[in-house]
Order: sequence, then C-alpha cells, then structure tokens
Amino acid sequence: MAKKQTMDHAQLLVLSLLAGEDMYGYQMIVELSRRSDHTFEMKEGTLYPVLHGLEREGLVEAYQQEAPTGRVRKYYHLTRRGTAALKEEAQAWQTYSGAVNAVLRACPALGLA
Amino acid sequence: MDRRQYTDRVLTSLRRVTAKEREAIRQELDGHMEDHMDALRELGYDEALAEERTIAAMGDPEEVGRELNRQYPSRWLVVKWGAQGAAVLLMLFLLSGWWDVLDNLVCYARARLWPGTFANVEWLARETGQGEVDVIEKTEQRAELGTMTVRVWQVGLDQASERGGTAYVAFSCWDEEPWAEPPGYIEVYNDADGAGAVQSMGGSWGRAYAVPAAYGDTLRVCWYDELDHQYETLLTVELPWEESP
Amino acid sequence: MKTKRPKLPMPRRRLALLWLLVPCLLLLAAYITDVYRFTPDQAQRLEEKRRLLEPMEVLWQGDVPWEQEVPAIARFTANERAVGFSEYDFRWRAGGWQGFLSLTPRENDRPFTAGCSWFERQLEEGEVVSEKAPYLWEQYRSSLTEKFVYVYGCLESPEVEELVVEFEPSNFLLEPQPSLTVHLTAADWIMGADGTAYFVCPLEPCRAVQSITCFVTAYDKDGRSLGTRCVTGMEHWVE
Repeated sequence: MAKKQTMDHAQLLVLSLLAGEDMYGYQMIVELSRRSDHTFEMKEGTLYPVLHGLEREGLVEAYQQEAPTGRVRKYYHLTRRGTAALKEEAQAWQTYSGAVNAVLRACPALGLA
Repeated sequence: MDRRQYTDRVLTSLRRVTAKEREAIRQELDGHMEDHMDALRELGYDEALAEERTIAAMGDPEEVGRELNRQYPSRWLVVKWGAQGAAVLLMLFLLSGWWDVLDNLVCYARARLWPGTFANVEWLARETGQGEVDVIEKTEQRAELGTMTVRVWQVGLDQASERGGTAYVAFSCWDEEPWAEPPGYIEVYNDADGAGAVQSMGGSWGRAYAVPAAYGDTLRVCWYDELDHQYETLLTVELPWEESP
Repeated sequence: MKTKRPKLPMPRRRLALLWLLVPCLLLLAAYITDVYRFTPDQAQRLEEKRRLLEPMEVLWQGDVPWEQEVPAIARFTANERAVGFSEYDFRWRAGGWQGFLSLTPRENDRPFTAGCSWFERQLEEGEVVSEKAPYLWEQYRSSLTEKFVYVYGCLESPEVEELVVEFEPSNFLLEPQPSLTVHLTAADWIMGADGTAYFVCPLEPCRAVQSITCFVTAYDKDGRSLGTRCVTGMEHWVE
C-alpha cells in the first residue's frame, strides 16, 4: 500500500488554514466551512484538541491579541516547522488521494471515468 | 446546560493539567462560544437560543475533554517537577555555604565602601579607654598580597610628644573574588623600633591597631611569610606628625 | 467585570527546559564560589589561596591506601618557592574535596630540596599478628598503626645524578622491620613544565613503629656526596 499520512486530516486542514494568516478558533471554524462549501463542519469543540496537539508538536505557536472591542483572543501562528510539515503532508495527501481516485476511476461499475 | 456547565464538564476530564493551563483552556473555550453567540445574535437569535445552538455545535463535552487530555501528557510536567525538586534540594543541601557566600558579598561591599563599619580609630580608642584621639586623618594606601588587596584608610595619633604616644591605623582587606574571605594575616609594627601593637580590633575584613610610637615614627603593615620565616612589609604608613614645636 | 486577562501559560516543554536550567545554574554558582568543591583542583586552589602561595603545578598524584572510607588522593605539587605534599579527600556532605597542604620551602642554594610526609591507618585486630599481640592490643591500640611514608623534593643543582633515601623505622611495638635504602636516578625524576626535576619516593608501609628517621643524600656523577639532609624530626642538613 502507498504510504498513509502520519497526520490525520483534521490537523492537515487546520495547518492549511493557518498557512494564509494567523487565526483564532472560531475564525477557523467559519473559514473551514466556507472554503469547503460546508462539507467540513466539524464539532467545534474538537478543534481545540487538534490545535493544542499541533502546539505541543511545535507546528503552531499561540499568542494573545486584543481586538478593538476589548476582547482578548488567542491566535495561532504557523511556525517554520509547521510550514514544512504542511508541505510534506499535503504532498503525501495529493499522492494518496490521486492514487485512490485513479483506482476508482478505473472501476467500470462506478461510472466515474 | 449553560456555558459554564459545558466548560466545567470539559475540564473535569483533564487530569494532568496545571491550574494555569486549566484556566487558559476555560477562557479559550468560553471565548469561542462567545464569538459564536455574537454571530448568532447578529442574525437575530435571542440569548437563550443562541446559547443552546452554540453548545450543541460544540459537541460532546466529555469527548472534547478526553481528546484534549491526550494532548497533555505528563512527560514535560514530570521533568519540570524534577528540575524544581533538584533546585530545592541543591539550595537546602548547600544552605550554609550560600549563607557564607552572601555574608562574604556583604562584607566585601562594606570593606570597599564603608571600611569604618568593621573597625576604625575612634572605636579602638574608645574601647581601650583612651577616649578622644588627638589627630585622626583619612588616608589612602593600597597593596596586593596574593589575590587579596589591603587598603589603609585611616591613621590617628594620640598624645604625641617627645616621650612618645600612640599611633593608630585602620585598614580593610578583600579578596579579588567577592564571595571569598580574605586570608587575613596582616600585622602592624612600628617601623623604627619594631614594637608591636598593644591593642587591636576587627576581623579578617577590617582591622584597627594601636602601636606605641615616638615623634617621626612610621608604621609598617606586614604579613608573615611562612616560607621565608619572616615578616614581609606590604606598606609603610606615614603618620600625621605636626612640625616639631 | 473587566479584569486584565492573564498571560498565556508557557508551553510545557519550554517551561520544563527553563526549569532544568535552574539546578544547572546553581551547580555552576556552587562551583564558581567554591561553596562545593567538585574537583581536587578546587580544593588545591583554595589551600594555595589560604597559604598565600603562587599557583602550584601538580607533578604526581597517587592512591591513598590509608583512607578507605571516602575517596581520597595524594598529590605532590611545586612552584618556584616551595614543594608541597597533600592529601585531599572527598566528603560529599561536607562540601566536597578538602585537604591540607604540607609545605617545604625550596632551598635554591643547596643541591636539592627534600621533605617527608607520613600518613597513618589504624590496624584492625586481625592484622596484628604477633606473640605480643593480645597484650598490646589492650594497652596500645591507638599506637598500632600502619605508616605510609613519602619522601619527595626537587633537584636544585644540575650536578645531582643520584639520590639515596635511607629510611630507619625504630621503636617497634611488634616485630622489628628492616631499614630501607632506595636509590633514585634519572629514570625516576619527574620533569616539571619549566624543566626542573622533581622526585617522589613512596616507601614500604611499616607497621606499629613509633618513630621514623629518614636521610636523603645526593651524589654527583663521580659518586661524591653533595650533601645529606635529615627530613624527619628536626629537619637539618648533616654537616
């Protein structure tokens, strides 16, 4: 079998969100939903184990920032290691999903060709 | 279930989390729910409904708590506790040593800046019953002995006459390393007749000596060289004799 | 209620690593301030400072068979003005390494400088094998020791080819032991950094002797004596 990803897809999605800009929790939920055209609507609470796990591995780092309203939010920022991990995992995912797609397309019963 | 209860239920599943981390997680989750509720309020939801929808969207609190707990393994926490324990043990084990170092640092500062706090001519005279001394002058002479510096900072004369009187000298010592005590083998003699001190006070950081002296005499500050078996002179101290009447 | 939000807690790994620095810094501080002597070198430096000596070079280091309870070493050191022999031992609860330095001033106008140090170990009951033993053990237990004697020094004159050490133990509590004569030649010299030749001569341990006498004589290449020094008791040159 081709090499499976070492990272689960939730982590990959979060890392790709942060590649563009630093975000806070709720912002990530909204962005993810918007970009995937509402396909990914994860349970919002489960975002935080993902974020804290990424922080523990050093792929993201967190800081606090005050909003104009006075609210203080915890923002997440992609580190250099995170960028590298993202590239690697995204590449692995492309290869993996491409291979799956190719096999499915070749299956006459599915009519995906 | 309200917001507070939701976060409480998430936090109960967190086992190996410090108080600060717990509070930070609570605030992060709470902030998230606040953001979601703001969005719903803008859409026209009322308070209670917004809260209910938000909590539903968050997911099962026990599951969130369990997943979160897995991101906080105890390894680094144990390392931190180990380091803290080691630090406390080292502090306690060497407590008397640290105390001496601190004491020496204070004495070093005193010896350099306020040598009179160890011993000075006025105190020595008062202690030996002389009372007031005729002449007391500040002076400044330094010499090095090994890693130690000796600084003569005060001289005094009492009942200086043709028959002789008493000369006083006060000096301080310190080592080049501020945490170390100076070895302190300094003695004072009358340079002319070799007479030794009749009175002294102080310790290894600062001393004062009273030496019998005749008109025009000088004092010798010396140390005993055990290898040559003799006293070596460090400094010759001029005394403030007045012009002969 | 608007309270200032506290700062984010530091990630665990970074906090743990920072805390690991604290005992390291404490150990460093203990080393620098000599609060704890981790090495015999520290103990030596402190002794030199206490005795107002220039730094001494370490020329010989050896085992300490008379001290079994704690780690210990014996050292022979020298500088331009003196030679020294010292034993340092390590007491982990009492500040680490510490010891005492015996100094012998160098005599540049003589053919050599020589000194003698001896160390004692109390004999155990089983080690005292003698007819007189039981009686002695009761009365003189504290005198029943094993003496380890070292003769050491420095060659001051280039004419010295050989040194002869004569060692006479006397006043035996048990069986007499023989005197010793040791010949030291160029093969035995320990060379210092500046080219000066030094020597260290450990003698056979002797048991239950109450006094020792030791003479060191120098001979030149023709076999003529250049001088004899008594290094025990009242140290003097034999004229």
